Amino acid sequence: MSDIDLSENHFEEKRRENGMEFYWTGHPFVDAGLAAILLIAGKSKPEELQKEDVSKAVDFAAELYATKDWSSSYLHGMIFPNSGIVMSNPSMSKKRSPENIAQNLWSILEKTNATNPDSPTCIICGRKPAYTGKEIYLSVFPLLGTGGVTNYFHSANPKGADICAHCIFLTQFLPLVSYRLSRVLVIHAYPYELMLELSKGALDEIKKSKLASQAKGFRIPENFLFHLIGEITRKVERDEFWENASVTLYYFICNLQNQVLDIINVPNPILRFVAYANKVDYVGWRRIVAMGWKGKPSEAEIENFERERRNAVYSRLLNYESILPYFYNLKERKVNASWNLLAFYCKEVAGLDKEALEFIKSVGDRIVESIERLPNHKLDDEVRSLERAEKLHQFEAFFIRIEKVRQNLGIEKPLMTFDEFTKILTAYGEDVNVSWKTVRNLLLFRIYEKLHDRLIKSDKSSEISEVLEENEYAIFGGEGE
Amino acid sequence: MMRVKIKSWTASFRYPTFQSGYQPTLPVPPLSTIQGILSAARGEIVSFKEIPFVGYVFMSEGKGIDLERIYALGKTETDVMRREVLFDNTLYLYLPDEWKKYFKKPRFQLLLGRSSDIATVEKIENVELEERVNIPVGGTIVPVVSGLPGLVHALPVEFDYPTIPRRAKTVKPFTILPFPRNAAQRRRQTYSGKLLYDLEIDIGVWFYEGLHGEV
Repeated sequence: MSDIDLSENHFEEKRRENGMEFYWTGHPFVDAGLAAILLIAGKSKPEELQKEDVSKAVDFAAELYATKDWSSSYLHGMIFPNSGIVMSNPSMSKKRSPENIAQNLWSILEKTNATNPDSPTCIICGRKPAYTGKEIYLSVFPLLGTGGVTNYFHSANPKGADICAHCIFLTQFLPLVSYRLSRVLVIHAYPYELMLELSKGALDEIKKSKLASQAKGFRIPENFLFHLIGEITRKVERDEFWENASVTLYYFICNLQNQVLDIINVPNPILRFVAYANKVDYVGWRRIVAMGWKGKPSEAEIENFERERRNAVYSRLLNYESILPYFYNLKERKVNASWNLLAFYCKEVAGLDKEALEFIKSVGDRIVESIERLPNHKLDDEVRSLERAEKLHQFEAFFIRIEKVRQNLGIEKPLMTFDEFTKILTAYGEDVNVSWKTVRNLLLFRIYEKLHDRLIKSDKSSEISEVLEENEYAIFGGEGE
Repeated sequence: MMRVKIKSWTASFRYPTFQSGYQPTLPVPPLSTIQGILSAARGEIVSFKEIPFVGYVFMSEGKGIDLERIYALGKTETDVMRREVLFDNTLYLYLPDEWKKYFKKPRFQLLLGRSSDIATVEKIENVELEERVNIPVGGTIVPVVSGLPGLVHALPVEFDYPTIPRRAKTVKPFTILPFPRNAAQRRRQTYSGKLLYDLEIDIGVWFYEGLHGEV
């Protein structure tokens, strides 16, 4: 049986009885608010927070929230529509002041320890009684339902959601660590040390400009996250930083007309791969990413593309689709990155084991050994047949061709044994990411890596491709050679 | 112990607080949904404190978004919202043998989420799981302190039903682990401690036995 169970206390921090008891909950919006208070206080653990730290955060938030820039277009328009707590309700514009907002925030916090045995337990932290001072709808907590459609809530609860004052209070600080793109981006991460690291940039920007963080001009959430991973990895020396990291992006908008949410969970193998790529082969990784945009960007354009356009490499990574074809440039017949990076990707993301990878690499080397002796146009011919192999029988035909090349050249040892041939064609076919196409892409990578200089010199006339098609036909029992 | 295999065409497990305009689904059911299934099978509200142990593994073949019209209670207005739905789902439940009788003839319809997500019992069998270390776990939720990487979220464990509306009895942060699809995912979701291993499904099963008498 599992040696951890739910009866254990999962929270390491000590409880405090002075009313300043804060804790991580696992809810992205509440945790984001706590991260904001911790970052403002320059602390990393909730149990270290003192009343003056909270006071500092309240004053900081209240001063910003009272400004027009924050109140109308950001708070009212994207996060807390018509909120009475942060006074984003347009009708409150005359009364809106830092003092009044601060007072509202304190009045929520004061209710945290109010014990009412009849109150239900908070649906977020499970520790405190639900706040009953007002109905808890989307004005107070983003993306909850509205009072107009009470059937969003259990048994059409007219009180809204059962959320305690602690969680409501913390959520009001969520905008301070959110990034304002086309919508609002909240990065939720575990361990929480990582969450603080990923949220820090937003607060730093807010401190400088007094405006909501613009995420350095990024418009696509996943592009921004991958950019952040690169920045942090190059800054942080520790290898284990991403080891068991959990990162999820919450990209939402919540106003009276529209409530939209995208939840993008970034699988841990992807996090580790992107971090590794930034660390060991940054230039190669940039080349791979650059191939993911429609219309090849020049070096100068890459930054703009990264900020504004969706990238196929990022999308494929997040959807667990193979990015192997992006490791090489088919048109220019050259590799984009080192074998090391490719091997890491195959092992940690595609699920290919080390032994299989070494085997494919050795087959690639044997192919290179065979075809490098050919004149340029014949070399081009053979590689082209592998590049064009879109069906399994074409892939098989490639090996038969190479075997013939070896015989013609008088190389004694065969390209591979029958068992190896069977293995390469069938053993990697169970997973969509590890199919014979994976093997083909790896072989092409190895060939381009070794023979790029010769391949770009070779003749690429259409004549050769016609010959190629005839030869394939001959192999499958058509006309003899 | 016994293992029940439950199948459904659709499933949806809502996040506790994202319920307006767009309702995403969790990739696997929370414990409170398992409580609901057990209660439907037995025909009365079941608490985990009555059950010595429970474990589950959930698999889904895909996900889509449905448009759903919602009628406001007591009003003529309607609202259209988007709801995420999981397709072609399988849930394996691991329970003490005495639960066999309830799943052989469930008292109420079993559901994997909402009332439209109808599920059926496909197989009930006795299984003996082997205790192992360093095995992958997935298709379930695990406490965040397990150290396994996944989607972290606060989730209800069990609801109390005597009141209307129902109330959350226990809520905890969990790591949600989808069923691993390839060797790399299996490696990342490998738990270093002891787990019971289901050889047939090739996965470790996270058992909640500490709930017994605690909830």
